[in-house]
Amino acid sequence: MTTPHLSPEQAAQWVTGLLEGPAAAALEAHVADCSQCTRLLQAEARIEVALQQATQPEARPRTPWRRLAAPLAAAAAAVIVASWGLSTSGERSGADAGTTSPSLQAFKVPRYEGTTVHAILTAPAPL
Amino acid sequence: MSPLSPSPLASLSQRQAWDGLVRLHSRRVWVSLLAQGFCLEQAQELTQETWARLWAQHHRGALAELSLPGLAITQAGFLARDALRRGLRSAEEAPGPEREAPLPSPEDRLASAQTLRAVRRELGTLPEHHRRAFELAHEGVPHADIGRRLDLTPQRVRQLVWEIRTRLRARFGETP
Repeated sequence: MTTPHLSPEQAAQWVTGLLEGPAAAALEAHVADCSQCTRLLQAEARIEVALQQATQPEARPRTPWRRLAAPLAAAAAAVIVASWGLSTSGERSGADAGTTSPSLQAFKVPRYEGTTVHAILTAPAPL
Repeated sequence: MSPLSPSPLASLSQRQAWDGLVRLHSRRVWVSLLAQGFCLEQAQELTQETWARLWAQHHRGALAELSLPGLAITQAGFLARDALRRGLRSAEEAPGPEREAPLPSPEDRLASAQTLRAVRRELGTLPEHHRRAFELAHEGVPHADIGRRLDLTPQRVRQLVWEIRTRLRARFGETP
């Protein structure tokens, strides 16, 4: 091992992305062969992940009312959708009567919980 | 033309945009894996595998929404659990007879709900611009973009993020 061990400050700079280029590459090369610095980097990574949690809105506790609210809202939505279907079924032609409405298709879009940041806004502009 | 067979030009520009996203968000994925106890090399491999899988899904049109870095971190979490099942955990994490039971460290205390609340309170005492810069940085928004939104230079954003993190980090270390 020819390079010196990491300082806590260097580890923190690396996990926050403040260490770039050759300095970051040198740190990574050292850590690849050093279990002591690997543990230091892992500890700073846990701090960073915890800070990311702290910057997100605090989850509200699920009270009995909140536990009931979701199923009640779903049931209400089902009644509204069903009544909408009945009220408009006579207006639809026979050809499209069996297709799913766009509003119902929207409910099938998969969601990824815990995601926060928009890729599209940060994507480089296409050529 | 089928979405599965885009023209070479479309594919190239998409690939370049994708590579930009990978460069932008890889460190967050990497750090999330390090925090789970993987060594740097394993974290790098899992991060590459994460992007390869997301690219394949994106190319197939299987992703209705591409929210990053959250989606990549979630995907990496799945791969990490699979790797742990297959026994690819870091050698440092493997239990051994000489390994002592770890004492609670500052980072362990930070993870507790009590400490998280203390952090949030501390963040609440910051000036609005400073707190917002710190939050946006931890959402993965580049410093240059944060600067444009908050009318700050990227250098000032970097300085703010570092100062706030250092302050919070020191506070966590003192938490009993």
